[in-house]
Amino acid sequence: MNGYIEKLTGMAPLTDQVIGTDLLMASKTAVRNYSFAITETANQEIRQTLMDQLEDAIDAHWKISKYMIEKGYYHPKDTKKQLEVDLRTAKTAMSIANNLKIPEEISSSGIFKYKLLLDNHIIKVTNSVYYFSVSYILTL
Amino acid sequence: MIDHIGVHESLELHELLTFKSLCLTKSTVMQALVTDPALKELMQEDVTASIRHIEGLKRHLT
Repeated sequence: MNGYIEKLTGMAPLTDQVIGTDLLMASKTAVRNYSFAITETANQEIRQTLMDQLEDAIDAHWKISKYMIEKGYYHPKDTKKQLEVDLRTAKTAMSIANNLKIPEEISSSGIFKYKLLLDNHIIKVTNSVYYFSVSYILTL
Repeated sequence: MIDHIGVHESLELHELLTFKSLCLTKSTVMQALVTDPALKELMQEDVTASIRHIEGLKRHLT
């Protein structure tokens, strides 16, 4: 268990980047989901709720984007740089998936069971969110 | 409230509710793994907003 945590601590900067990216993806998905939902509703009160929440989602996305840009994780204006980051991330994700075996005591502990539960829950949500959450759990 | 809305509207609300619940759970749990205080604060803001949003969605469903 401790060794596993040490591995996690050693990967702290990566973990921040992965979690930041996930937060960014989630905020993008939120904006899309709200927009779609608004076009599906005729009830004025529901519409207003969704429009208010959409505005919050757009603001949140802007804040998270700004953070990711400042940290150098996200380069929306520099495609070449962004590609470098993406390729490095893909490489790291692959090597973690290939090398990191989840120890028995972790997989049978509560937190992992909880994650599996979360995982089942995720299937009901959009595919992209599911995909990113799985890559998350692999990275952890 | 629920009697006055269409099936498709209620389904949309359900889907958003599931999505927001997942976001809330993730932002709450993953905060423990984050080292950067700025990121932690962004996540805490997300938690606060998500709770408010979920309450808002639930009001239309119950």
